[in-house]
Amino acid sequence: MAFINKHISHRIGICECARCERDDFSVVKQLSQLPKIKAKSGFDRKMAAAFSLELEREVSQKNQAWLRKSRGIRLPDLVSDFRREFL
Amino acid sequence: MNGSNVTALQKMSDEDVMEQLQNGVVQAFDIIVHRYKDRLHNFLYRYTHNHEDCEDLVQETFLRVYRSRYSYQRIAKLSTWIYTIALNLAKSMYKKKQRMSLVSIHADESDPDDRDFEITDSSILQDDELHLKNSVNELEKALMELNDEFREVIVLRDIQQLTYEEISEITGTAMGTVKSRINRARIQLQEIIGDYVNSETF
Repeated sequence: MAFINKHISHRIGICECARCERDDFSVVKQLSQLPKIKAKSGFDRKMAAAFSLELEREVSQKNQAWLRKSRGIRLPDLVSDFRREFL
Repeated sequence: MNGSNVTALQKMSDEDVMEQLQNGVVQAFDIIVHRYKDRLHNFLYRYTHNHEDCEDLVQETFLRVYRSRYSYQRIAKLSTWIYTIALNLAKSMYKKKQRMSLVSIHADESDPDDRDFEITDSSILQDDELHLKNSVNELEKALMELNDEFREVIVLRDIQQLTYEEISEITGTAMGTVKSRINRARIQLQEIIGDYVNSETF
């Protein structure tokens, strides 16, 4: 019975033998030797820009949430009062 | 945060860096990007086979990592969590592209004047370097011919060198299924490339 189980698990590739692990497949070696794809030189700059937008979005969301909680205050009123007084 | 604190972050494990990010240390995000950008490019390129899509996906993965930072718990390795996000994004992008291709204009295969031509030049095979490049191309093309389930496990195992346990967690699949898929994918890949890719050329 154990032999049959081992045979079946080998046939479907879920046993721990060398064949099922990797050794018998030349394709495994070839895959591990495929050239490594790396991030392009401009990626850090693009990522930093996207992240700073993300931080801005987060701050704006927090502000909106604060305004929703403090119902008496509205940003447009504040801005128009500021314009009327100072501009 | 000053320079010495950034140096301290650089020495921390991935999971500790993530904890710092959860505590509001924004510089921790840069450390995570630095550690994972190449790994994710290598992984997602094998999935998308397109540099532009790949870069967009890597960027989106990092943004999702930031947005979902509070949902990460130390019971999982950070790498597993990040790969899971990346794989899910890649899958949804693939689905979106499939939907779009339904309305795109394809070449009419019945029309002899409207099809792609493959021009082969046997003389290039005399050059070892070009032969190697062709072999790599063949292998990458063969990878793209595998179905999604096979491709994701074989890329995670044989290219990214992750463990079966990690792959099982990332794909949300039982370990036995992962092993079986990897084995079947290798057999299928070997069949697709046949003897064109000679291992001696690597």
